[in-house]
Amino acid sequence: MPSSQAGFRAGANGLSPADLLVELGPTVWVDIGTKSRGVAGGLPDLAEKRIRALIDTGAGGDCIDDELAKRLGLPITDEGEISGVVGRHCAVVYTARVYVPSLDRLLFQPFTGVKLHQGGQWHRLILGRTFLRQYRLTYDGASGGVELSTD
Amino acid sequence: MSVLGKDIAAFERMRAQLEASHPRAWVVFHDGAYINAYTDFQAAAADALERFDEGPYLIRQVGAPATVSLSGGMIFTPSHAVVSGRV
Repeated sequence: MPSSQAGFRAGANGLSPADLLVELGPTVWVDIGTKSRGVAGGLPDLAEKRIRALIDTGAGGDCIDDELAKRLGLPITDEGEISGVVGRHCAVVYTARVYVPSLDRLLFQPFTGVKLHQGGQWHRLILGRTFLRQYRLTYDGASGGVELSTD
Repeated sequence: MSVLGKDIAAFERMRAQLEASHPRAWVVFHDGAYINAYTDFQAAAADALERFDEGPYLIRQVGAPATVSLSGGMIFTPSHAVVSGRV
């Protein structure tokens, strides 16, 4: 059964694993691109590797950093408007392949473009409840551990 | 400035027809023209990528919900829902 650690096992910069989980949130590492350069039937070989993705139970849909999407030349496949606590602004939707090596899962889907890097965010991707639909999420705030599993 | 203005306008012109003929299907529009309907997003995106590479092109599900909840209480509203009425 695939499972992945999305928490923190070690502290850093004077922060404990539990502190890092509070500070940064559950995180998995993903590869992103448009088309796989790998051989058919093999593991996906996407253009950008080891990108930080936030697991966000407060989000329904998934988001990608606008700057990253433009740099990778991801196709724009829809557009509309984002609204929330900071008002409204225009947004585009990109289509991308995202591979999560630790779960051996390949996504091929739309991602709403948001300004994560420009906004000083550590992550470049946000994966919400649609992504979590097939996993059990175990969150241990006291230890800093988070596990995604399918059992 | 709209990147997909021609495609969205074409989608709007055909929306009622698509809702009758292809409910819940995923459709692709490119350069203001309807390309095809597909049973799932992956099939639509794979064909669009093959034909039009980096695009842009519109991929939408016929009859999809008007909004998508995003992180931090934000919601995404596709342009057709913005035009047809605020939520």
